[in-house]
Amino acid sequence: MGTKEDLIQIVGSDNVVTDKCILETFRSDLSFHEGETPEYIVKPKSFDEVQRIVWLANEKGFPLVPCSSGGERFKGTTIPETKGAVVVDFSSMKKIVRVDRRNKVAMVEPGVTFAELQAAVEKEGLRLEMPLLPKPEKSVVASLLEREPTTCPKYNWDAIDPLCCLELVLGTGDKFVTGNAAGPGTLEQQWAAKQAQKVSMGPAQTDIGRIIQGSQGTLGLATWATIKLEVKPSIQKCYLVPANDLEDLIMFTYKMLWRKLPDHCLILNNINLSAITGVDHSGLPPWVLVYTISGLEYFPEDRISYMEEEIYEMASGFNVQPVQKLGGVSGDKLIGLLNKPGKAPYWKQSLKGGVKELFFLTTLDKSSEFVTIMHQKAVSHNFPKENTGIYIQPIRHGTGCHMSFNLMADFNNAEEKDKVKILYDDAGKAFLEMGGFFSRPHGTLVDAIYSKCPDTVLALKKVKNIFDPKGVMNPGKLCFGEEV
Amino acid sequence: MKLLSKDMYKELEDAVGKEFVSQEPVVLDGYAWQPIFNLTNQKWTPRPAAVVLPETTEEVQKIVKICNKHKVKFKPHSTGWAAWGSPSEEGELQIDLRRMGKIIELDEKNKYAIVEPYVCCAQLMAEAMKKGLTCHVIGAGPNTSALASATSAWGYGGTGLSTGYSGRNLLGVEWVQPSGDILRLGSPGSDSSWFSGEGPGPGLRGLMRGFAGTQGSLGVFTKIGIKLFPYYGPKEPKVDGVLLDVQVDVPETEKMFFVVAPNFQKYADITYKVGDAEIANWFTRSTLAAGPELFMPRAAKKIYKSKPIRSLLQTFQHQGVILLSSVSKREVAYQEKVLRQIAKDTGCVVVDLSQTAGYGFWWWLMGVRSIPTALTFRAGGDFLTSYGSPVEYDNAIKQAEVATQYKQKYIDKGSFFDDTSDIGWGGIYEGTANWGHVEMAAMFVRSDGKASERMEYLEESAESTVKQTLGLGLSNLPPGSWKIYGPMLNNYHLWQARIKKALDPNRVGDEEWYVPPIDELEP
Repeated sequence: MGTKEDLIQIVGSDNVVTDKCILETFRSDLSFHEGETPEYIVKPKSFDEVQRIVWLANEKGFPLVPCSSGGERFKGTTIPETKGAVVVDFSSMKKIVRVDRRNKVAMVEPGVTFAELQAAVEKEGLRLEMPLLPKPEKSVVASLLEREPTTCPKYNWDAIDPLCCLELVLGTGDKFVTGNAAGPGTLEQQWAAKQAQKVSMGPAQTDIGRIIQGSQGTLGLATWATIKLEVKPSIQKCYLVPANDLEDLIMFTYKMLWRKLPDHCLILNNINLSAITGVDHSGLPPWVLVYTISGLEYFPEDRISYMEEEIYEMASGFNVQPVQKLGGVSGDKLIGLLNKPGKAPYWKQSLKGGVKELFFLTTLDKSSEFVTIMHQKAVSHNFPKENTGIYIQPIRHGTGCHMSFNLMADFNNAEEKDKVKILYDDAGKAFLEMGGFFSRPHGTLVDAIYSKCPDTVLALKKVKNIFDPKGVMNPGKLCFGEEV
Repeated sequence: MKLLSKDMYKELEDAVGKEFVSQEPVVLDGYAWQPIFNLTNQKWTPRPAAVVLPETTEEVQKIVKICNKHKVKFKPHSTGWAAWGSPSEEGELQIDLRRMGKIIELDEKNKYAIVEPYVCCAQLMAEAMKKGLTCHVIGAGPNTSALASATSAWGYGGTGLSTGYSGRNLLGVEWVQPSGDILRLGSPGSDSSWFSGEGPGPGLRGLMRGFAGTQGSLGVFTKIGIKLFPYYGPKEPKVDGVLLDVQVDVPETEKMFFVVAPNFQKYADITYKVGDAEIANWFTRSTLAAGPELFMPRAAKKIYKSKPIRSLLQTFQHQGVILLSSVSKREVAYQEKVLRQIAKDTGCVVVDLSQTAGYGFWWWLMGVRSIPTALTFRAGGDFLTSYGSPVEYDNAIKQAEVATQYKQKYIDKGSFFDDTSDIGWGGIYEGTANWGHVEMAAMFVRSDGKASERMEYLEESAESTVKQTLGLGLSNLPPGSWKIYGPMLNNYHLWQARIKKALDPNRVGDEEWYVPPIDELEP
């Protein structure tokens, strides 16, 4: 029996896509990368089907490329690197299995989007920690597995957060459940015993969930995940702190994080703030710190009130001024934006249509150095400053920050597109040399990123051999070339 | 007594200097004296063949390579606080990391420190407090190694609501693997600073640490970046006296309360509400009956025999201690207002400890330092702990209920000190009651001839965690436990055994607390 027939036997003929036009869309995305057209797209609906697909791939030796989110793709992770690949499309696995108000946790399948889960958790008086305005079709599980930063650093204790537990089909086809969901007991028995699968550690002395996170589908496939939620504020206020110089915001941000006062806390340049709000960037200050404070169940106005007073006092010590309206952008409008997934068109594309995102981790006190270099590089490549959106997101209570440069251009214009490609590579390599840490490698910088850490590459290849010894899981991605 | 070969001993001397290697029996006996958490119930562990004291990562690497060359197992320890830091069999090399005791960097703005293995939590905390920061300290006390708690061992800290959990506070890691290869996890592996432990790509921290660490089976951790947390108390507190006689001036913005609930359910309710309200710095269950046992053990033996006093103590069984902390009076006033309202709504009572005479003692010992180990042994000279899996707090409270019943059986047999059968402690973690734990301590006199009964208790309590779905916790950690729990939990032991095989090809890392390599389990 051929692969197609085998796949049909597993998922049914309606769930095996052979349409060449659709298959062709997986050959490339907005990452500038081109790979191979997949042979089939297969849409499983259950754990059992996913496991049988992985077993079949091991038996017949074809590569699997997972894909969960809808809409346009930006990072190249779902582009097959080798011929004969089968894309495993999780968009049919859309169950929100459970939302647990008391333990503030949800269990979802990989096809569930931010828009869908956010609506479900709000009904329970909870809120979902999200990346900055994710595209509405973005899969929650994919975002968790990509280790995307969320916008409230106070709730971000560890790099794995807000991901809790995972049900996995490893590259070998074995089932594995991570964290306290692993047992003892079935999920039903655990629920009856008032457990809720919220602890990501283990089981025992290994964190396979942590290993899978960031692996871009090269080690296994997730069939559900649990996600940590927070209490939905009863009231919220959003403030904007303008600055001409990024440095003027940094120490104030550190201080606020030390006091654990703000919920959302992020820094945007005027280009990104414009892209998000639709307000012309020319009327906005070069830099804006955006933060929210909230009232919860008990005495919400009192909470807001003392936080406002504390922050105003702090701000005066740093010569900055929090305001609720700024150049046509209101805090109220921003609250609405920050608490929901983005809308189409995706905000990063709203100014020019095309965007290439250069992102890495650093610490807040070094962020200005990267901005300076980016501006120098942009000048040297004749790339307009007003096409560079900058976003700085403190993570893990401020022990580090995600730094992102959105290089915006019209990609229908070959010259503009090439300029972005060259600037992306040039600035990316400069950032690597400056100590920018590319924890989530993508695109043309992958080789340069891994050349910085040969010991890590060696260890990663050992890990690949353990969890995917036949190399069927998204081959060619990360540092897993053909020689693995 | 097994000794190293002369060649190997000479190579070790060449690696670290003659004065930092020893095979003197009297020195080695010092390492083998390990009654604490000695699961054989003996006072001794197998005597190492030699001990070596490296000063640098490069020296550690040389030592591990020498072990590989001569096929000799090694066992590293940092502060060497308990028996799991000792070799599991004779003939092994003990690597004592006490010469690696530097706080290399304390980054005030980014709230992390880079530390070596012998930096104990008390040292790190003292330096961090000067900068308005503190660290997580496990319940074993401030004498424990910050690095070992985060990389290799396990343990919960009472302040976890504001300081997290040791294994989740790791950032960059420097790791001499059992093969002798050095691996720097996360950002330091890419010549960046130590602020991140994951990537590029997969999070390899997951190899070396889950809920617990591997107790040295996967090599030696020589340096870590570790998260620090805001501390709002005095930067250099004036502390007079020692242990029970401590006097400290506490600022008004540090307020501590007893929280008393009428039953387990109400106690869980108030705990969840406190987490949802995001108000406290820490909140830990602490029964009133624990007091006599810890602070006046001789008197406690009489106190516990008095029926009226027993019933009085048991009235306060569902009690916790909560700390509200800030630099701001306004913030603490708000938090106190919320706490009192929550108590009212849940039918609980709060007692303001900060108005009492002994408050400085409570604040310093319980609130800042985590309880000193010396206190937990006073009742009988030794103790064990059980249950305590990391779970949602409702399930943790269920563990307290179950544990109380099991422990009572062994109190009745005379295996444990009669403390009204609770003394379960544990709280909520990570700011919002994200998760929690409750473990059950039991005190005993080691020389009472009841060792086998205590082993029975440990086995029975472990079985109950399976029967009643209470997670895998401290009862389920002993060497070889993978044989029971591995097959129940997706064969996790086989994946660990594959990791062991890949990272330790010559099987030189003492594997007692981990697993053997895969070719032994699946020949």
